[in-house]
Amino acid sequence: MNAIWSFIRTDRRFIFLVVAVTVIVPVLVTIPFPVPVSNATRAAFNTMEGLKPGDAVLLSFSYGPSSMAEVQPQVEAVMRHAFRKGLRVLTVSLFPDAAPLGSRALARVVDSDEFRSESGGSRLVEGTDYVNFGYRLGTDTLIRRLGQNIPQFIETDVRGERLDALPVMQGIQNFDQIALVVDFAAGDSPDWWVVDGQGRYGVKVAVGVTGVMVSQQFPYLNSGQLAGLIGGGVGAAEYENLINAPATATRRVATLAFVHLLIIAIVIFGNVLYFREQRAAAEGDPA
Amino acid sequence: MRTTLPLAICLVMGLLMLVQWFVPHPLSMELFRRVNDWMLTIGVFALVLGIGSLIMVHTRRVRRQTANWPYSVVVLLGLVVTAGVGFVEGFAHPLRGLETTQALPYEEGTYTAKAGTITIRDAGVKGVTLEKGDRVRVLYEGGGHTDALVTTTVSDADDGNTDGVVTAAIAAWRQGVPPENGTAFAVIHPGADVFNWIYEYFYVPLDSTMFSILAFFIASAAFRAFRARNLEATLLLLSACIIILGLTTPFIYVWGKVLPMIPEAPTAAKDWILEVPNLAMRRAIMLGVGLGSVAQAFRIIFGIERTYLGGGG
Repeated sequence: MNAIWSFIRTDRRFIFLVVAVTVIVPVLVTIPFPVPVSNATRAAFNTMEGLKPGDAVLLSFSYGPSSMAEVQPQVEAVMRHAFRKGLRVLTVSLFPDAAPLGSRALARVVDSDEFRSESGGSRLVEGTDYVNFGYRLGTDTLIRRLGQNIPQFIETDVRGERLDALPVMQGIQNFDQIALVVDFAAGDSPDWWVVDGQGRYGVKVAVGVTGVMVSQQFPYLNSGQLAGLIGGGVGAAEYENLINAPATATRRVATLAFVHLLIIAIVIFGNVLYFREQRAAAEGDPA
Repeated sequence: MRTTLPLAICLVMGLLMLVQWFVPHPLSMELFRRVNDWMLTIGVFALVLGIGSLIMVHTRRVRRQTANWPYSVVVLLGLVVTAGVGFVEGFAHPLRGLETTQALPYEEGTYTAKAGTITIRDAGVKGVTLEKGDRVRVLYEGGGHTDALVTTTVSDADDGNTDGVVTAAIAAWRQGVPPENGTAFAVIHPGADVFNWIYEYFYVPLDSTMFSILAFFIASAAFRAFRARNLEATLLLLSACIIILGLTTPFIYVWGKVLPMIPEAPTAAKDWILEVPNLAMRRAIMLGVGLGSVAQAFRIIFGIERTYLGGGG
């Protein structure tokens, strides 16, 4: 027995193997789990739900491939909700590596069956229902400039079309005409949006962030500076269920749940070993 | 003079930016706009510095053949190839790698252009499919052109025959609606996009993999380091376990079955930890950092803090 415990303690590959099995099995075997909705995600949903058709929502992408497993499903769920409500969707990437991911999410939602027209194409038209600004240099400076004059600063969309000629941009000059900004982030951008977007220009801001960033956002959520908070893969699954469109994140809930339980089991197991060693050391037995 | 001038600029600009926050006058807003544009311009220099530094560090490693120098070769190759492809594609195909077909010759009634559609009648489009994202370009007789994006994929065969008549839905004409009939036109197809290919098949898998393997190391670290060694460590451990369990749906489901009188307890406990102790601690840190930033800003504006000038003040 001691040899087994000693092996587990010294060879990390055993833990790696258990984690790999716990991640892979739920991917192969679909296990439906109920998804309870947190207050923070419900606030984001309610904020979006409160907007009127024709309102403009700006989706800001500030993440990359490393965090796409958590954030990309959030983007698609929020985008789908916005299009369902008939909102005008504007997208901008604050990080260069976020732009292709934002475009990919946009294409997946726009071309999905839900928005297919009778002729077979999407009934959502670029330039009329949505516009993609692509990557724009400047991070927090960009937010301040957008707050002053969007079409003057951006000028053209990602296709090279002039913004002032696009129906989707009619009447939009600055943040006064933006009903909501949703920032999807894996870095500092929620702070920029709260300080510059919400603080300086008064635009309503919600965020979708990675799991490790959730706790940092609660002061902003509690003070009302954030109108909603979608946290990690679980938050994405919650949002998918709120809009009744279970997708990637909902399928991953089982994996997340089993890995969470595994981590708890590993922590308990590690502490059992620790106390066993402590007791053995106190009794003078080198276990 | 070398120190005085930068200090004076810092003092004037610092005070101006401080005052403009409270004065929403058009002049103040114009100053704010210009300063932000300068910041964007200056920010580009950081890119040059960063790339220069990267090249120097890794070139030195390769030249001296220090430990793991082959990795530096990979870094330099990655930089040169990615940036090179980006520049070449950018210059050759400013419209993201679009390739232009040969312009079809002008004939009366070759096309009919309207605000939202173009109908093309030409043997050149017999059996042809115009993909969403293609462009149709109308060339003016006296030179110049206007073009528009095809918004929906459409084929000559869609109407049941391949007669060389295609009506495509288009986005707005970029230089205004062209004359309804006349002149020549071309169809522009998106060409190979190597830059995006590099992003899609090198960068995305590599970046995702690097982050994904954290799960294995976190599990290993939890096993080795997350021990109830003292009161503080025990509190941390319990809080972490409550939050993890509050996010674990099978646990919440089983809890609800076992203790139906308090089914929401795991979620409520998780929310309480995040919204009360976590919030209080985060807010205290943020207020402290904020006050510290204000103090430091004043020190810089008034020239008390000069280390940013170099030479240790």
